[in-house]
Amino acid sequence: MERKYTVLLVFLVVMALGLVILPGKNDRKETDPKILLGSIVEKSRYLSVDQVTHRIIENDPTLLLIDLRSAEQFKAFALPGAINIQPDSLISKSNLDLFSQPGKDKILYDNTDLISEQGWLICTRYSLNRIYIMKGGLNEWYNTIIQTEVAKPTASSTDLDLINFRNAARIYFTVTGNTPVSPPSVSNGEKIEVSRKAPTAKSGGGC
Amino acid sequence: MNSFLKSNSIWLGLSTLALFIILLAYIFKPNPPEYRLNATQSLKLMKDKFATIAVKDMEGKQAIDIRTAEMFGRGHVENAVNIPVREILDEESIKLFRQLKSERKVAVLYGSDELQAISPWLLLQQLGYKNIFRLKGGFTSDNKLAETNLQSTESSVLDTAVLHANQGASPGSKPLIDKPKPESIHLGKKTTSAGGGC
Repeated sequence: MERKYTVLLVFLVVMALGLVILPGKNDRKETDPKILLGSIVEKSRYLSVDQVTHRIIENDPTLLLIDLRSAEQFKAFALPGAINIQPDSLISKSNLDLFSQPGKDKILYDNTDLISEQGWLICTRYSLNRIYIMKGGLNEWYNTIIQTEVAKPTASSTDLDLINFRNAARIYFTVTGNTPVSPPSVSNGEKIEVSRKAPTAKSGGGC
Repeated sequence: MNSFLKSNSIWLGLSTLALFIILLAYIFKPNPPEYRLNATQSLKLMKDKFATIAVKDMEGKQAIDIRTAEMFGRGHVENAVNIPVREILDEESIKLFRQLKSERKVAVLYGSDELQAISPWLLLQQLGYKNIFRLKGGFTSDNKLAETNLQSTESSVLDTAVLHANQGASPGSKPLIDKPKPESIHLGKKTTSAGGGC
């Protein structure tokens, strides 16, 4: 074999080895750290428990609640329609498909904000859109919606409206049986019974 | 060989110059912060029990106050450095973090509470500053460090018995918000038969 072909062969083998050694390309687009820091400073990721509660009651189709607590806690109680995802598998392939659903607001919650905040940061780093945090988590939701305060005589009309809403929401979640005992599934479609009246007369069509 | 060098002197000179420029650009290239941890490593940090430092263990560690300069001016931990959140990736801040890392000094981020420090801490961890921890607590309005209160711990305050107890009970009050609950839908009845035709 000619010398130049030997050199070429060695070069190609070295290049091939380099490709094997190099880390695999990350397909997920990453947000620049400085832009991510800008998102941290901005507080638009937070939704109040009242906002989330309102959307649950309204059966908002764009709402996707993601419960980051343990499976045990999720089984004991979860918000209607929530999906339980463990933090260490937050951006696994199957969950990425879930997060990539167009037209959905993905709202993260845990008992407080500590896990949700970190989950939001990692999701935002990987350019996942429309990720929000229920501010204060389930503890705040429980203290605000379920343990509703009594309106003070001096309360403004805005405060009264808010307290009335929370009272109504408390009844919705506790009295009317809308609080799921078992883990809720993604689709909580109710079976609709359709009763049709039997035809009484034949159509007299035709010539 | 000499004839080859003579005939290609221009091309060889240009190639050498290009290599020299590339070398200089590599040496003096700006060094923006880059992620050092991948997704799996970052996710593992979320439940890392050793990521926090208790208030009582702060001694001998470099405190970094991430509150605003105004709040820092009202009071702060002794010898703390003020780096407001929006400035943590500024050139000077990165220089300090690199220095602390090279000196193997432990730095502790703190804000008004643990929640304020958690995102900046996780971002710095992902950028490779493993020597930076976060305080389990915050600098309170009483001008002192305090442990995390219940609101920022992961303990649940839910009383599931309350949430499920009243289900099925009839408290006598109609829910103020009626959830649409379709039970039966009667399709419209026709009173006359279609008398179609000509």
